[in-house]
Amino acid sequence: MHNRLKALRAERGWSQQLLAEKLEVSRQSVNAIETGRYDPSLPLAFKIARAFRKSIEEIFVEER
Amino acid sequence: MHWSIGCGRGSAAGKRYLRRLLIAWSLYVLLLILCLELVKKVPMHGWVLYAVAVIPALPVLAVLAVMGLYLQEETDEYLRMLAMRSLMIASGALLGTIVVNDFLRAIAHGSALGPFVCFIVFFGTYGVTQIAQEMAARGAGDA
Repeated sequence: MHNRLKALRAERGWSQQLLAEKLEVSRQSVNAIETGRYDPSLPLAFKIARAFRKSIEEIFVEER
Repeated sequence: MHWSIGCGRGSAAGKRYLRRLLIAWSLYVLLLILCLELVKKVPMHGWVLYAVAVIPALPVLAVLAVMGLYLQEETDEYLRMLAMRSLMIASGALLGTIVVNDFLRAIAHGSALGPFVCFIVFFGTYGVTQIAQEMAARGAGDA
């Protein structure tokens, strides 16, 4: 699954650590999601969407 | 390199895991030395010898419980997934070793695995997998 996490984070000037704190996960998790090594669960995807005030579909894009 | 490879680098559950692990392994070393010395110096046999021989295994069983506890307590799903993956690979390596040895013994009259082989295979594979995952993460830009 593709995601726009890195771009959205850059727009806001947030570091990986700051986003990790907002999501209550490790920075390693944020990095793994950003680099596509890990697809988050639905609850975490909702949390990410809430942090960016976007819908899940605006952040995560299904690979076709 | 952060020494707490894999399991919960920095997470509260990870810190508890490392603390418990340190206690269990320290206890293992202490009990192993004590039991070996005891068996060497005090002649014993029967159930007493069996009981003394099993004592150093108890902290190792505790290590397995500590691993299970970590999986239960870790709230970071990515870190939990990494630990689960390592445990699955280590379990596979252990089971694979036992199955191959069983067939060697049953069909080719091979000898049984030596003492502690299972122990080394399981914990060795677990450690190597953790390091491999750590290196893969670093390769992907996770410093």
